[in-house]
Amino acid sequence: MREIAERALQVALDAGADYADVRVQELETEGLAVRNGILETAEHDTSAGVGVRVLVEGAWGFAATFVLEGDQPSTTARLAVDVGRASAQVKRRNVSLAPAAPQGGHYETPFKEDPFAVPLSEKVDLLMAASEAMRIDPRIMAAAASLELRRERTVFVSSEGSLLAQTILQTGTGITATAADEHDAQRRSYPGSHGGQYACMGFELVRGLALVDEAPRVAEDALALLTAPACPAGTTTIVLDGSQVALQIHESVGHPTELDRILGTEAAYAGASFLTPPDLGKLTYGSQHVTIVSDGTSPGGLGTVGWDDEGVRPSPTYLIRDGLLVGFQTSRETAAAIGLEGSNGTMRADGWINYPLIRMTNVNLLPGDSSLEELIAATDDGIYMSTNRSWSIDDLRKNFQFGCEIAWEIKGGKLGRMLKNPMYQGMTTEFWGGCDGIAGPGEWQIWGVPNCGKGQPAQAARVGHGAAPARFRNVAVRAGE
Amino acid sequence: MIGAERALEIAEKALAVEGADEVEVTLFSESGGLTRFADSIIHQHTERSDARVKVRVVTGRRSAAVGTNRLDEDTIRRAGLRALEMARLSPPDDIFPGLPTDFGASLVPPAQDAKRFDGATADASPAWRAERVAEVVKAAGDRPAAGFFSTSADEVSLANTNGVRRHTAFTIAAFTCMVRSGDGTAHHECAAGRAADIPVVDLAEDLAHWADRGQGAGDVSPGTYPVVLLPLAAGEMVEYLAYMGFGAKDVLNGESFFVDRQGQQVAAPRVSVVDDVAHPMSLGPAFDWEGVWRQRVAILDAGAANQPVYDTRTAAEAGTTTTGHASGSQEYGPYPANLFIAPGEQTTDELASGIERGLLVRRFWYVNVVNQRETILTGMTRDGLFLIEDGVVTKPVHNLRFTQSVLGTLAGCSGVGADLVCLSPGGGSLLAPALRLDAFTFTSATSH
Repeated sequence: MREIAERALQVALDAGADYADVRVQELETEGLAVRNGILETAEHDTSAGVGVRVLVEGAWGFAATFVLEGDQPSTTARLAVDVGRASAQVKRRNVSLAPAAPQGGHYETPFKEDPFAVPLSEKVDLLMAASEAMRIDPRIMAAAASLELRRERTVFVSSEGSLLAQTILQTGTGITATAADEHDAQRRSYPGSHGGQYACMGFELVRGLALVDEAPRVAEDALALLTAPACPAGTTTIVLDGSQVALQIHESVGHPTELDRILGTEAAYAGASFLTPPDLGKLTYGSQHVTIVSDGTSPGGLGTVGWDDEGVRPSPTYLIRDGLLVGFQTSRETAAAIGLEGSNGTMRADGWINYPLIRMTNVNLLPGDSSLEELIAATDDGIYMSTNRSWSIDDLRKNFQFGCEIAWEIKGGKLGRMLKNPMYQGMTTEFWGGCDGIAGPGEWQIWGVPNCGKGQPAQAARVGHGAAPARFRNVAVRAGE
Repeated sequence: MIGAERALEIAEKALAVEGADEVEVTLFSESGGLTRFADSIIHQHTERSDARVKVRVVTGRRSAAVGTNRLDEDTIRRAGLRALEMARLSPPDDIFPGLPTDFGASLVPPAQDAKRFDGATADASPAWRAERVAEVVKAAGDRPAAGFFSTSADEVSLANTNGVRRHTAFTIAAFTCMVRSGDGTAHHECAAGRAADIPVVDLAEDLAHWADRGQGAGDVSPGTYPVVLLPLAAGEMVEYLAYMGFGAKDVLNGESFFVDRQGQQVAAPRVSVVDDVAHPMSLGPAFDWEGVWRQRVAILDAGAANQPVYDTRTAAEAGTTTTGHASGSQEYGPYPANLFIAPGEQTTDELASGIERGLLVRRFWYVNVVNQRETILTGMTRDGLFLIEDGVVTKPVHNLRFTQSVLGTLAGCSGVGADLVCLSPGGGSLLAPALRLDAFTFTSATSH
């Protein structure tokens, strides 16, 4: 891999590139999915290729090929230069990069048990058992359990002297029960929705989640939701579980603090941001309880890497400190554009075939000093919502609306009736301004989001969000639909 | 491009997996480029190629698949053996009907299929696409433009041990553009099999006009309004309706509206949604990811919930036959890849003309499912929301969030536009006209 990368790098420079970096990568994935006791998916996949990124005549070019044999990597390097020259036809200024020290070395995701080495039969048996344990009633129409494994081996070289190797290992698993009758259909998931929990870990993640033990409760919740009353509308206090707080961070803090969006380069697709560079250090984003850090080094976080795909080591960066906006997620190009000293290392690509973009690594809400129990006990009237079901936010990341799988009313500091179809809606800074309590480190964990979409061609990023249950005042709760 | 002969030769060899009852080999290759621009400069620009072989092996009603993007004989042979090993370790699926045989015929005549590959589009260079972007920037004048122009050539081959042999090659060009004028923005997107068929300059000039008209938006209260959804917005509604309920897997899971409304009138009689791979504007292969010829399925037929689409597995579970809509994932189930909303005869002005006070929606954004069975979505308007007063589009207003049942609003469809826009979500196609809907509920506002 190193030889291919270095040869392609030299060809790009010989062809006229002023800067070049090359990633040679091998991806390996395994997916298992069980529904109603039937193994619907048993797939293993490998993909290898090389991506060459160049700056030529002040403009970017990128080319990638799956053919690693013969002259093809060199041909691809020359093609990247041609692409860059074509880009230079439509430019007004030359791209400049913030300085970054050349990097060298090797990084590997720490893990205890290689999930690819766990016998397939053991993994299938676990998912089958979890699925069976959810089939407690004929109204359980779908009892689904899944497991997804991913390993990326990458060699990165740059014309500035970096030579890096890293292996990222990711594991994800979860269960979902879908109950339906003649009137309604309801889903309940564990440990989170949209595939469950994902982390840069080995099979120890799966063993620690006790899917089979949790399965009957998940199914019981789904059944109970069929006949639960709909969540009432009104402006009230809400308490969110950690997994929903994670999605809230993702959409209303993670994306708007991406500096490429702020500078307009995602304007036509993913959207821009309500933030501007002059807001740094001035804009009140939330209450004093809210401190949020971009940290690509968080142990176990789904966005944890040794280096980003520009060869920059992630540096933990405060985005919001005590409620004040103090940082952005940056690349070398965007950092230079607003006069920052350097990138904080968030440029990541979805595989060898894509160019890197600013992507969240782990954007974490730091824990508070409360607990879920205390937050509820100190709420006279409100709603506790758990597990994301739907999410939507406007193109500048202001107006959002989230739905959760399940809720319970809070009356006099105690949980009351189960409620279905809970939804809440708000405006970003007002919502975070209403945060008046966050659970402590004992209930804080990093939730993995494996499907964050951005970029054209479309890329899916795998990112993490450290979160704990939190309480928000004066929130508009919509009537359960 | 790999070419039909070599692709089928690779597939043929890969079918020989000793010990397997049945084998299916799918080979997909793609090459092309995308030229992306923002603030009227090209800022991201890529040219790339990939290929993928997927070997699906069946033994005793057990199946597994192994994929690779290495095309050498030895790697593919090992993929087959690994798939067999995985299948043997899997529990049997008693409903699994086996791999399909070669039955039926393509709905797309050979001459039409051949036209779906355009050599000029396949050969489009980065410089050629950059020239198109330069034309767009020029047409937008001093207004910042953002979007992309892409060209790709794709190839799909599929063979199985029951005699199925399929191969097709097709090209897709896609264009998106957003033009800003002060605080006004306008956006459009479209796709075609031939890059030359996308009139980028005309589109950019039209966007400049609408971006100018979008300046100085004022507030409008959330509430229920009659609306005209332009084709992008109408297409997104129907795309999500398909995602929520057109596939048989969602019916079997109890989550589709077909569960309790099949055969019933669920939309206005003027609403018909058909999956039709043979439509002259449709894009992509005439066969599905099991090699079954895609059938024409009237999913909503004159407003009635007629039938969902099936692959072989869901058809077996439901006791019917496949319609040729396998998505390649049994987990996610079948999907209609060539949706077509039947057009009407009205222009956009005519659609607006009967509305006393309503809204013109150019585009939706970040749509998501609130209640799948009830087909309730939420999402935002974006890049141009205009007030309609006394039948005329008058002034821009700030964006609104909607929370609305798709079938609920389609029940009040009182007009359908004549012109179709071809969109290309996920590599297939979606042909959408404008729709006039008598009641569409917006639930909150934003400040831009």
